[in-house]
Amino acid sequence: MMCERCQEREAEVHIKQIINGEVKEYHLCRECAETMGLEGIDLFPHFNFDLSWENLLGSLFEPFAAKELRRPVRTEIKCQGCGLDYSTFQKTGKFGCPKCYESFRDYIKPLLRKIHGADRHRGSKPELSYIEKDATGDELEKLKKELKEAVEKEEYERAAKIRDRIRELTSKGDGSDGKA
Amino acid sequence: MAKHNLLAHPIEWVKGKGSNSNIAVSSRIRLARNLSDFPFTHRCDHEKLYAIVDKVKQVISDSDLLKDSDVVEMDALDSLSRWVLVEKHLISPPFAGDGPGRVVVVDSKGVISIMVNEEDHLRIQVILAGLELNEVWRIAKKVEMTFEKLDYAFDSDFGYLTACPTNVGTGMRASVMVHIPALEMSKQIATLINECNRIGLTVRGTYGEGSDVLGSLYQISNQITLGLGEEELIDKVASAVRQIVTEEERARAVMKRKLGSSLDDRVWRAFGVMRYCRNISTREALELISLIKMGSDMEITPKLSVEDWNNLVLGVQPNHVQLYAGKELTPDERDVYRAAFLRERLKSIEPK
Ligand SMILES: [Zn+2]
Ligand SMILES: [Zn+2]
Repeated sequence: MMCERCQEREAEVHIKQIINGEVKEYHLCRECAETMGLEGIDLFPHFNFDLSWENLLGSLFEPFAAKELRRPVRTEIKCQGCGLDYSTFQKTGKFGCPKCYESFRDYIKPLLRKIHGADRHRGSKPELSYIEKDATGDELEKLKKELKEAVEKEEYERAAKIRDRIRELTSKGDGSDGKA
Repeated sequence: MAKHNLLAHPIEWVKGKGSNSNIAVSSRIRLARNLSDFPFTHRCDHEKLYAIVDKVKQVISDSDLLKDSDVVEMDALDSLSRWVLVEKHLISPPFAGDGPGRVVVVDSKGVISIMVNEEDHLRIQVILAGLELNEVWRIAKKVEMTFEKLDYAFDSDFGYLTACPTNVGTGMRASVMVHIPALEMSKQIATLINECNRIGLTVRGTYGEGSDVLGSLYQISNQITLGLGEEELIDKVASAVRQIVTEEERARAVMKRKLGSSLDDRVWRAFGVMRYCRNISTREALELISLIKMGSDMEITPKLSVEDWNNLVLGVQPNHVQLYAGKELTPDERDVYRAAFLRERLKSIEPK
């Protein structure tokens, strides 16, 4: 799915807004979502068009409706992987899947600083020893497909990781590990 | 359901073979790991939970390190057996509850235990006697690498990803169980807790709930898991424990000087009560065991080896008492059987 706002990048963030009891959904790329998250509803240029004159007039006579209009908009970010929304996470304190960390990345950094006094890992890393030699052929094909996908989705960090793995695999294939 | 032979499984740390194991009873490291292709355990359906179990079992049967392990489905154990495993520190209390797809793996030596589908897909735990965190870490890392082929959920910013943000990063909890009755009697625990918290360590009781600590046994562990390397976290815990051991020894020397024969009396009375009691609570039993262990360390009462001591501490726990009795017991009945257990064991350390 393409980003609704720029129509350029893949939509990765799914926002639900509740305005006047009406639910609106937006599908945005990370960049657009970030700008919008910072600047709130004003960034939806078409937002005000949704309010008919009747509604506006009505609100003049109905203080409750007016209040409703001014209520800050609730934005809901959902995880790409498992569909968990951020407010559920806030309630339970538990993520739904590993991809939640990616989906809520900017939201959880302050949280992690609160818990750990840091937001970056400095310990050991996986050594990618899981690429079995006998599975090299299949693995390589799979990785190439994944790489193409990652580049298409502009997930450069993931792409770099995959490229490293491919490099590792192909260097093994050169016979540098022939004695095994 | 029959009692599983896992209950009779040897447990290495109980033997007490480690440095400073009179005071630093055991060192434990727990690593939390998740498989990148699955939701976290609490969001996995039946099918996914068993898919994880199958993958883990495959790795175990292919691993020289783990292939002789006991692999036990929690659902195959009755409730008493599960709680005995909790008391042995092989599994966590939440893991003893109900739910599908929970498997515990214990290696043949009783050093390594792995919970599959606890809060995280893998909870790898290694325990040795004494202050041996470096060796424990070496083993834990080796086990962890064995499962790496399952493709851990890892993020270059956040490290190893866990269901709960309090475990993310290293996913590591390093803890040492310490026996510090003299620090307790000299009212230094509050200071100790404050000092530990100040440097990012947590202090809590091994037995008992909340602030209720039984048997003068405390766990010192790292509070944070993100932002520091594993070795840095381990060094923090280990250096705090070394200081605690020194302080406990100092407090014992001061106590001996100040209290003299009244300390001897207190320890010998503990010995006498254990030898002849007919009804005793877990709390009182653990207090007395703590006293006679300290008495043994200070050469007041007969020698109590670390292994015998650990077996006493485990043996008086509610579920171990029922295991000893060979049947389920009401709390009142437990107190009677607990007393019988203590009398029997105390015979073997009778003063000459
Ligand atoms: Zn966009
Ligand atoms: Zn998720």
